[in-house]
Amino acid sequence: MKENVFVVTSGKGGVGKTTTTANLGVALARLGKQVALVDADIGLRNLDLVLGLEKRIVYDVVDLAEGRCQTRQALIKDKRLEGLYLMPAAQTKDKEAVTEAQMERVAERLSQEFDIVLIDCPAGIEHGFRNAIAGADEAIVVTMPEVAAIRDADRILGMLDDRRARLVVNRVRPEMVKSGDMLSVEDVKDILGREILGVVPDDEEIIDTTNRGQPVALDPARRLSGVYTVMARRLLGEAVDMAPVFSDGIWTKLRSLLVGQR
Amino acid sequence: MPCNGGREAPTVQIKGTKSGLLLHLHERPLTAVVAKLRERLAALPQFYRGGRAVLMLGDGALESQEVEGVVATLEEFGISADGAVCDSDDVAEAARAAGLRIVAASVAAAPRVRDDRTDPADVRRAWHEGGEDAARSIARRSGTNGKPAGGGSGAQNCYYKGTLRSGQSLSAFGSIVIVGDVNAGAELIATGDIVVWGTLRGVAHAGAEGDDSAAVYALRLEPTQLRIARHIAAAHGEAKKTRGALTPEVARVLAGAIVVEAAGAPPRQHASSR
Amino acid sequence: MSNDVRAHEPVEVMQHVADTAAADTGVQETTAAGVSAATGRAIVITSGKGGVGKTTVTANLGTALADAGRKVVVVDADVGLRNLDVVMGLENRVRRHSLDVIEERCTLDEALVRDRARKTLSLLPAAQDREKDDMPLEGMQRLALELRRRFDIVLIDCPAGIEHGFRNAVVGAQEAIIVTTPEVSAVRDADRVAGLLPHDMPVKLIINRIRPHLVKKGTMLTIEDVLDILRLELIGVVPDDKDVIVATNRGAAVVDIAGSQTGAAFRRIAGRLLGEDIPIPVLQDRSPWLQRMISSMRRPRS
Repeated sequence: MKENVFVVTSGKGGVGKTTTTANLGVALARLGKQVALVDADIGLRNLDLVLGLEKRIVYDVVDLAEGRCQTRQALIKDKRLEGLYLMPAAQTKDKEAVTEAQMERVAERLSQEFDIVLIDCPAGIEHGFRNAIAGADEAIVVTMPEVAAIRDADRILGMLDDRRARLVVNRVRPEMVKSGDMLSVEDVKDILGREILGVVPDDEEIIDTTNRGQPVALDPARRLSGVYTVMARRLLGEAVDMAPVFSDGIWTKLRSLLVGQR
Repeated sequence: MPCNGGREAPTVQIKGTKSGLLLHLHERPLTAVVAKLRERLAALPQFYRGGRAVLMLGDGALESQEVEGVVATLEEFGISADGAVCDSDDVAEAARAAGLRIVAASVAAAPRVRDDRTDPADVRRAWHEGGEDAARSIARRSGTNGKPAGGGSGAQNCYYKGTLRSGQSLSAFGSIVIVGDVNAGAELIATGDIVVWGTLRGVAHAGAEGDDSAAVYALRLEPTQLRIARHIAAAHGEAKKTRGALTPEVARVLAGAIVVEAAGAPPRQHASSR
Repeated sequence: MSNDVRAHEPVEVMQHVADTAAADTGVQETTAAGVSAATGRAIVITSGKGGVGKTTVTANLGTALADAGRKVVVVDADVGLRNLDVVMGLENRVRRHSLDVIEERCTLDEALVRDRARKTLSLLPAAQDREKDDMPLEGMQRLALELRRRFDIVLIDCPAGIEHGFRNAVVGAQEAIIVTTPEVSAVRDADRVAGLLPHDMPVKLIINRIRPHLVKKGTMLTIEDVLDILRLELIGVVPDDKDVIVATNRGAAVVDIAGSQTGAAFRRIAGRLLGEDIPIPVLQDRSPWLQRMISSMRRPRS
């Protein structure tokens, strides 16, 4: 039994679950893995938009759960990469359209066929959240160094049963951390008491992912791409230092925040 | 593609849905599948009686006689075969020759005329109180959802004034006319034509039961995806954002592919006129 | 909590809320028990997409409305993931919550938290250790009705999503404000929500976190793009501002930060909500089409 299904969750909306799922998935595929991304946000689907695959959706996870298609028909292969597949959510249904048991079966099926499965969880802690975690072995909890996000992450951590959970700290602004206007990554780690999988600085580059369907991790020339590659390698179990290699202003500040993070 | 479809499905899968049975009949030869089907049905001979079933025939080669065999077996147990979902043209032909109508998977799932957008106020309120199930049961009671699939003569064309928002869907046996926009994330399914007097940004499926001569018209045609009968097309490149002057267009199937042309140009040679 | 509200049959309460959906405020209505009327306006602040700023809008709009002389209550409808108390800087004063009231463990007065700086502004917190399914719809309706008796404006901070929590937040409201950012996913979710709100509910739009330099670059949608899709009455446009993060982390109101563009925007929105004719300032070059659209907006009565 492979333990390779990860749910990407947060509690708080808007902290970057979908962006993380997309970019981490791309980074893993670029490392040669076979990756399946599942959008569990039925009724408010966005993972397809963020990946730029919206136009190719024919079947979705609800069709699969209700037996209207086979697994391979509900998977869209990303033509830009070898080994990245998306299973989209339905837009014209709501969260009650699938049961936890159905989602577990879908996750189980994908777990057998792929190296890594990432499930993009909806915001909140309601039915949609429970559906998304049903088939997951581990959790990736995305948060921001901001009070409301941390509070919600804390609540979420208490709802994951005994699954291993690691943190992705998103939208870090090193200059604000220095001036005391933002919590540091160390603070976040202390409060939530979990290991950190990755730290992502606030960078307008990410908007290309969110608004244009071009995940930033696709392009090795982009600064953020390196961040997601590091995150992917850490997910795969490599003991990689999180601090990025660039040395322009903002990044050296980030580096100094991360020195000593493992 | 790491997925192996063959390994996954048991030989005969019978799924019950709110609209009837879905029979997964992807494996070949179909005659062997029929034997398994008979076994399954014979175990509970009265259970399915009076129901309707949609056959999911996949894309493996088969003959129309084999399909007829399935239909006959179902009839023995009082189940009427109501249509087939086919993943290839050859399979669709065989199914048609056996007398089955061809349906899209989405239509198979929702074969009744269903208009999510123009819920009367009580249905909308029911949704707010109890979610999808409550809304559906109210709709059934008040008769707003209606006719059984394939039953009744004549089309039920749908005329709707207003904008269809993301997540809303409209399906009809007949043609659909919308005076308003169809936003991205919204879905239209019609057995006939689709006409949008506004901007079409969502997904439109015309000729949903296999009518290749169906067309999609819009004042602004910027759909996420267009489907006519079994053809599917997505726009190239980024979504265009047109402002100012409207450019009415019509999408049709020509020589096996979906083609978009400016509305008002005389239509090129077609197999049938509507 | 007064007994008369709890005595109402849910059906009667629903009828009542529906009747007042399009009504003027200030009209005297009597309930079946003959208790004095609920004349306040209940407005749900929703979005579909998380993280676009519903809670910040609720807190700051509430503050601005209180400064404009109204009695305001902000209601946290995010059971289990409450944040409105933190954003208001009142988390240390939270003793009881809305479920305590519904489940009759305390009175409404005991649950309401008065703002530290503004006497006419109160908060009704949500439970943190419960789930949204625990809150019955009739409960929210009754609460909203009772709040409308005591306050001029009831702002309901809706959770993200379109599940039970969303339905709960909407059921007690007569009007809606949808908050979106000029990003494709947010607009898509806002559209979804717009299609789920009751037909007869007036809906307005706030476009939050505008970054004009990104719009220029073409990586963010323009106001025009957003309105072209959503076709809702625009009630305000709020610039992106790092002041907001600082303020939320400290539980301070952005409207209190001197010289803050964001604070000023919220004050203008509050004014428009109360019926004042305040034009939306130019954050970027706009087409004549948009100018016409904005100037043709009807003003609500206050």
